[in-house]
Amino acid sequence: MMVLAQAQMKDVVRNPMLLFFFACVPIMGAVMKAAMPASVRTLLSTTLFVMSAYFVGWNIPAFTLAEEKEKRQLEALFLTPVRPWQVVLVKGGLGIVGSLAFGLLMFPILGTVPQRPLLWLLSYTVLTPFTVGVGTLVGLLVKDTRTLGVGGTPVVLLLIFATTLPWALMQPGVWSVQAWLPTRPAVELIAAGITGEAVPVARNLLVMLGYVTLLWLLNARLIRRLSFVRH
Amino acid sequence: MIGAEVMGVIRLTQVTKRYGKATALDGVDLCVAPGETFGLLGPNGAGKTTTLRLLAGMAVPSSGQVRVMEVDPWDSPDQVRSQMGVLPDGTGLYERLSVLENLRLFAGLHGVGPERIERAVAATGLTGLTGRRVGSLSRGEKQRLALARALLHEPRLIILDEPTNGLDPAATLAFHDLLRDLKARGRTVVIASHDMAEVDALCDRVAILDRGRLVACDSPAALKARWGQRTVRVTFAGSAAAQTAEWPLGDAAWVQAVARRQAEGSLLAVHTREATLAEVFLHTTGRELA
Repeated sequence: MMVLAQAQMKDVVRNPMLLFFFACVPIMGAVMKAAMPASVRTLLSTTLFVMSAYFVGWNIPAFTLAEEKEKRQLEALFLTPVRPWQVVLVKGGLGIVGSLAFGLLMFPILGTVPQRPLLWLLSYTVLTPFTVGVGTLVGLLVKDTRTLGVGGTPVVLLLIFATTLPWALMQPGVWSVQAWLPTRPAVELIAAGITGEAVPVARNLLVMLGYVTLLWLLNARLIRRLSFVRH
Repeated sequence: MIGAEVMGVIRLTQVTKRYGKATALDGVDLCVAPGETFGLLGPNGAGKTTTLRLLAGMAVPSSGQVRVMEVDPWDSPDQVRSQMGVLPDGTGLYERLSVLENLRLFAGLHGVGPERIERAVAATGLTGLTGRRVGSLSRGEKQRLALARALLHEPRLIILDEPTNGLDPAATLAFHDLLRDLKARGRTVVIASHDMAEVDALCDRVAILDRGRLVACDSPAALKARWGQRTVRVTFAGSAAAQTAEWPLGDAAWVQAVARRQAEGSLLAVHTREATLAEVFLHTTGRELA
């Protein structure tokens, strides 16, 4: 597993497309800090944390799985004793570690000091397995890197904008519905971690953990199919 | 041959493989003996890759029995793959990693030490390229690297899917030398190819597949003797340019023609032409290999 993790890590850090996605997050943070008014800083900082979880955590498993199918590297891997779940575990591990690293990097870039750092860490730690899980699910389902986009737009962007930005601008009715959908509970917790405001922590955590569990159960069912990809 | 069938490294018994309504393999019986270089010949869609996937335990037959070293590769893939090296169509290499990093990855996954990497690198002539990124290698170099990867765990059985597809003639010849070297070291090699000259030059026996059916299986010489035809080609001076005429070797007409052209002083050359696997394919399938 270590040799696989090392090789996958090298492959990720030498991938210009993934590096571009990774670099977007701190660059946006720096721009935001310089240009945004203080009144929207909390909202945009929270969005940026969510984006870092998606851009890093989603992209690593989704893109690498899709590329490895396309280039038939998975077939070569599965002709060794390595198991599909080990490959997914390595990618998931890299996604989670990368997401956490980029999430922590955002604090000095944004100049933000979290009021409740443990709550921030807890919420980010719950969000990350979700974004990595969604990336893994997409990677398991798509055929190649071309099918990672919808109408030319990467699935990750659709996911972010469908689940994070609109809710903040919506009426309370929509907001309360979104409280039971994925991402938004984590967003609320992350915001509370930064500002220190009171939010229903247990409910939000349970909703997110429920989605994380469902997602990984679904992934576990799909993982075995990886080794028998038909070309 | 009876003995080889009993002791076969590979045995397919009435194997059928369907993908939905499409039948990729239809009741195929096949046996490959230890140390044999065996060719699977056929056009795209004939069932060659499906056969290889069944052997590697990456697909399950719809019916029939697949045995590799007496083991079902679907039920016991690790047992089979520990004794099998595969060079898939499309090398499946990590292009952003170096040659050495690729080999280290697969050596680690197979649980073999660095001395095996050195051996595989030397055997495939990759010394001097180990620091290069795979993306910067030529196609021939990538094929050699993929073969080195397949040899890392020193398997008894080596499976090659279209190994010289897209290689230039020099790289193809170099690759053929590597395969002959493997044979000399007693490895069993299975080559799936649509290159008849390659199969003819390298293989002890050849199975011809067409639309999922096994239409012939024997040594190239036996297949050519049964279905091919040796011919005599006579070239003579025509009114404007040289002309040729061809007869089966056993047809006495060419002797008379040669004598007549000789007497006329127009005889330029007489050549015999060996039968080819292309003729065998044409006879056994009723069509040419595209």
